[in-house]
Amino acid sequence: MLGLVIAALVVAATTFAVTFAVGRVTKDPTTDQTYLALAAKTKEVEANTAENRKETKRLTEQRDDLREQVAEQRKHAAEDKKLYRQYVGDAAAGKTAITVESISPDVDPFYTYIGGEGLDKYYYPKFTVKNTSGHVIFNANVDYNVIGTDGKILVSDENAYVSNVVVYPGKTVVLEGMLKDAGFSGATIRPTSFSATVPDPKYDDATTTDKGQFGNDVKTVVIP
Amino acid sequence: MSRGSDEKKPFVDTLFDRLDKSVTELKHVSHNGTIALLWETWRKPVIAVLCLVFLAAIGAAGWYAGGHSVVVQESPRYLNEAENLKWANSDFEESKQDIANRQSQMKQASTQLDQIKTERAQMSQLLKEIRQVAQPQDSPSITVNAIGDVSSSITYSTIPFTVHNNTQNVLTNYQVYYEALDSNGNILDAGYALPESGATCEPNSDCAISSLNMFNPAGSTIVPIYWTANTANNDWHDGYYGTDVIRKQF
Repeated sequence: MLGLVIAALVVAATTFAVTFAVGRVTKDPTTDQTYLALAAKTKEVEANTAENRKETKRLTEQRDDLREQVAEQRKHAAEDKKLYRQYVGDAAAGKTAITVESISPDVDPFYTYIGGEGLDKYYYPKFTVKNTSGHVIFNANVDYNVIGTDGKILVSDENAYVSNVVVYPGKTVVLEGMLKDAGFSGATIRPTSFSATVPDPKYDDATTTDKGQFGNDVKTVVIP
Repeated sequence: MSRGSDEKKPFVDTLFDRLDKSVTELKHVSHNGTIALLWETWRKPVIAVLCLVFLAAIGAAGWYAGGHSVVVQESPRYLNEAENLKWANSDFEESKQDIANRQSQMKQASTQLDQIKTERAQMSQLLKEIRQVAQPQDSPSITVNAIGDVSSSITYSTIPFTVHNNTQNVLTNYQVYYEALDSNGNILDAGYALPESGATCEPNSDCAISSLNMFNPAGSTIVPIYWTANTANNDWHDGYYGTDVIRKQF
């Protein structure tokens, strides 16, 4: 009877051991929830990556397009600057459309040559002005006063001008006036106001007049 | 279905026979001790079936326990997949970085683009004006063919110009305005040249005009800028020359 029990136990143990081993060996971990969750996570991350790469591709195209535009605009800007440098001088824009740089109160050379015998004395004052309008100037005019040593205005609203010219910004132009002398030696020529004909930015092939007053810091000259 | 009487009875028939017999015997259990007889008859198959069921249960338990003894997280497949996830995460981070890079590169390019456009916009009106004056307006009625040599008297200088009448009309009055430029493009003087009093210019012919000016052009460049032309019928025209006009350095 004991032998029978032992035999039964051995058979049971063997059966358990064998089936345990078989169960362990044949276990497929890929069917396990833990594994499936992991695999799903991997898939999700890979899908997100693919989405991102698609987005990167789209952005790369946009970036390349922008860079092309930059290159294109750079080329135009270089052409612009070349043209600008070719024509435009320094300090293209100032407080006033034109800035007086110097005044030369020349006496009529013929009067000087003759020696003044029997002639009225005229001054031909020359105003060298800089185009600080930021535009091309076609005509320019400067009004000036002659002020005596006592500060009294001896002559007002005389003018000097230049017409039918093309003055590029930053460049100077000489305006000429004519002033009949009345004992002006020692008096001061003081520019008061200006006007300049410039292209009208609103209309093609049209011009407009830029007018203004000179400030107190305007250049003056004493007539010798 | 008929079968030959000499054939062996199939198992199902035997089973039914046995069941029939059992039921019949059960009727007599109470009064003639057939239970003992029945047990005697069925003892062996019942024990055999019970043993098999027991073994199957042990087997199933063994198989189940065997399966569950495997730690999935340590299995090669799982570890492999874990590695895959690691790489996938790394790729994902990289792809996010790529997007961030593109966005920053786009921002940079946009900033540059705006900057250049602003710069160009600031210059655009002036450049438009410069381009406009560089182009001759329409076709001029008179073009300057030549600028002659300067002749000076005590106080005046004269510059002769040869102009061509491009019109089909006799011009009764025609002038050319010019500038004297220094080497920096500053205008030292502006003057004009006109024909001798009463002179006319025939259609399609060359005519002489000259300037009379207190400015001595020595060292400067004379550049024609603007022209006017009039006929006896007051058919008056004017215009600016472009920058490709003939010029002369004195």
